Amino acid sequence: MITTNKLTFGYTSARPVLSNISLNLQKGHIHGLLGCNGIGKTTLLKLMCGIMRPQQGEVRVNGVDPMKRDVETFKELMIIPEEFDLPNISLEMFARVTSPFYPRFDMGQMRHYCEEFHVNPNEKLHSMSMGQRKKAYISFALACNVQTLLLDEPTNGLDIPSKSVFRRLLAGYVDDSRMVVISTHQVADIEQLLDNIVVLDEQGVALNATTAEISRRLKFGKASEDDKVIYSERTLQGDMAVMLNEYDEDSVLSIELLFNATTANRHAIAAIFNTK
Amino acid sequence: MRSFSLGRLAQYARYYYVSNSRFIFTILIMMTGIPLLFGLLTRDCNAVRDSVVAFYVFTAFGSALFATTAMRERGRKTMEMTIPVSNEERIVFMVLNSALFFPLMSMVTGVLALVFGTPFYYGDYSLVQIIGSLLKDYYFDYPFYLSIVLISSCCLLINLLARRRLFVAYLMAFIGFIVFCVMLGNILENTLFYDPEFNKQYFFLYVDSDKIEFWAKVIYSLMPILFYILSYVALRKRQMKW
Repeated sequence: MITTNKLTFGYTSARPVLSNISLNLQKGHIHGLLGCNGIGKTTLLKLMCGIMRPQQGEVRVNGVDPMKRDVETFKELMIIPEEFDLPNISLEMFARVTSPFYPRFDMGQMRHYCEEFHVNPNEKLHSMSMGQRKKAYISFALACNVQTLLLDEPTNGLDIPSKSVFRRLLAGYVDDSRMVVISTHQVADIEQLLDNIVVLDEQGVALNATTAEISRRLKFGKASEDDKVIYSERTLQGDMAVMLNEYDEDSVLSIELLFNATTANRHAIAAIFNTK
Repeated sequence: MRSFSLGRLAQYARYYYVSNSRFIFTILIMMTGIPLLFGLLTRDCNAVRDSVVAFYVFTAFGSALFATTAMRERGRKTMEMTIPVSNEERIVFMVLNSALFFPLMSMVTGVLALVFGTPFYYGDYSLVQIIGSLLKDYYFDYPFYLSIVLISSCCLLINLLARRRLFVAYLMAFIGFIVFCVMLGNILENTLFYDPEFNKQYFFLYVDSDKIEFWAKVIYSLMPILFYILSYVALRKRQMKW
């Protein structure tokens, strides 16, 4: 479980990137962290793994302050940054020297994931393309079986088949003892995976709700005259809207539409979900 | 102690050396190859020995930089800082790496360079004697080794304190060190080592060289320890800003 309490951070003290962020991300879910460019999604992930110090407030990972660099906490925490540089050795060798730090690492599992991604674990990592390297690192990270996995733009650089393999593997990864936090712009890539959505904006957390709760309170699609429209936009399919779900109707949740609704009409969304 | 495990330290060392194997191998090749090149150009065994010594001093400056590079590089720092290794294990590894591994490697590559250069040397020389003097005067000479450790410990602290503009940090530290030496020299000359009895007789300042040597050894031995302790504090306090 990750909790943040009134978390404030800025690269300079005058201009905070994140201000007053309070979240409670539970295990057993895949949490989507959404927000515009520069809003602080990556910064929040870095704060969650203790490599940055908050100006105010606190972060706790399973009740422990990650800045204390407690070994037991980090055995169960892993982050895949958007940009990373792996050493110029094969993935097998990388796994052999890194896996002893992660008690539940499974080499067989990693080879299986590599097979799924069509990555050769014996190839030198520097001779792989950026996408191949990302798949290799994702395979390693999933095989570590850590309780908390933080992913920053994981689908960037992946080809279409790999995105679908990624979704499948991630869906199988989460159980009651594990959680995944994904920060992304590419909502379409992971739309079906997320079961909790956090939207950040300049004022803090604009929305933090499970997809079930969102579907219960809002509906998505073409609006009729009776619907209470919160937000609408013109698309190739006609005007698509986010509306109040007054009669418990079923609709397919569109995260992109929800995100746009949250940024355009923050107060309405905040009022519906009781977000401060 | 939960925050320190020898097993994990060994795992971290394995991870570090395998991950950086290509880089370390390049450094070792340079440490053997450049003195050999000197041998080829000068055809003088002593020139090779001198360049080996120069590389030994270079390792003192470079070893701390090599140990902290992964923590500084944009693409590697996040991964490096989230590896489950405690600050204590990390600092012990850095100390062992800079104070033992690199000097040892410098010694091995230095001897190899001298031996491999044999076909190039011209004139009368005794290889055994030159290797012997290299080991005796530099690698197994305690004051010289202490100077190497002192420099590398100071560099480790600079590397851990300075996130960017490392060159400026090194320069500032160098100037600071010179100022410190001048001040220390002045203080010692004018107070602690001033011999009043002697000066009463001869009317000039006398510096007791035995006392200076003793105190210099004490200060030289303690300073690396102080720098390592400060490095540990810096690692604990500042690593989140990296």
